Amino acid sequence: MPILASLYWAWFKIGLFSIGGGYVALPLIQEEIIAHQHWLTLSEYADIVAVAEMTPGPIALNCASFVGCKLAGWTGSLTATLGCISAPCAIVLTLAILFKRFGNLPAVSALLRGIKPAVVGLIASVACSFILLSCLKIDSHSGLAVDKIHFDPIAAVICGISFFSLQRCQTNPILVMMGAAVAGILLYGLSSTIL
Amino acid sequence: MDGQQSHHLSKRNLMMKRDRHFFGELFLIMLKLSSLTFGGGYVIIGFMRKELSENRSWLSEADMLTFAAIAQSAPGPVAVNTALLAGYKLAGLAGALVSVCGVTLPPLVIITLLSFGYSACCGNFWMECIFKGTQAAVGAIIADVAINLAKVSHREDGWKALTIAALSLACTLLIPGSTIFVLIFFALVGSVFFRSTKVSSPQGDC
Repeated sequence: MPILASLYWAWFKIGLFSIGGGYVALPLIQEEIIAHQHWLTLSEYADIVAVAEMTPGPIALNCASFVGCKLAGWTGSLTATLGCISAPCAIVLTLAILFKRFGNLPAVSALLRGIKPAVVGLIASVACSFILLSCLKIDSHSGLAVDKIHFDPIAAVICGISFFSLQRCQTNPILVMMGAAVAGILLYGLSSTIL
Repeated sequence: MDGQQSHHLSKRNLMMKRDRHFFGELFLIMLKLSSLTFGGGYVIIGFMRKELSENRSWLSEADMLTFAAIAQSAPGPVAVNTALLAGYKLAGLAGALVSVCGVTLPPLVIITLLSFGYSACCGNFWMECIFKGTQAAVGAIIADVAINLAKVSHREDGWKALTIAALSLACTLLIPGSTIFVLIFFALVGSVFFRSTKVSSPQGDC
């Protein structure tokens, strides 16, 4: 299948199933783009999600543009973005018409209500993947190389402090990201130049 | 608000010309809003309401609320969905198209440019240090999102919700390739277990 077609189709699927909030796209992207298509490594995925936290725009669209660009420059970027919004646009227009005719859609409400807990679990799984990757260097998608597993104390510290400041102090995620970037420079950069 | 005000608005909107100026303005509004909303799509709904309902009276509050509800009921980014609905209501399919273009352009351009930069300085030592740091934080941020959502879910549907969350987490971790099935399966399970008694109301939880 030509690359643009696969790009479109992959993101079409992601767009179609990303019901229940912005972050639900993350597990879908992880499965389709990293596990299935191998267009990104888990590490690259963590990088783009980090960048997406600091740039404007929905996280799904940011990821789409990044992957699309990596594969096929501007054309890829555009194709992935179009794929991502195709199903949502069609469904939204349909729902708008139904809403207009029927006023309320209890079936949709029920489905959304039911989906929320599942979404929680799925998003949590992405968190697990990222934490395992950064703190233990476990990449669940490139085969568990047992000999490669090692504990990264700097990552654990950054992760812990970030989590604490988010949960307890309600720090803005953008600030957390920037702080982590600075911490990365200081702790990783300086520690390797000094040692 | 509503019945009368909506009627007046509709009349005024019908009289307002859908000319190049209008579409240009709509496009620029969406472009601006999309460029300014960092972290989380729900913020843009508030901005849109301000721009379209307060500043310009193009749409009524009731319209915006309905759009918010529909936007969150459908798949896809909330920002895109809301922009689509607003554009459609204002100027049919043409309006929807202009609106969606305005909303999706900023992330497309910004990220594509950043992506070129990313591959350019991939081997750079300091860039790697930065990304090692951000990688550690990303896990924390997503975990924070998950926990906050879990709290909301627990508040609404109690321990049944958390059980479903735990089960879906376990399935996704243990069974590769199961994400979509988990989503569909537990969505159906959940919709059976949690009989929605309240009217669908727009909630920004994420």
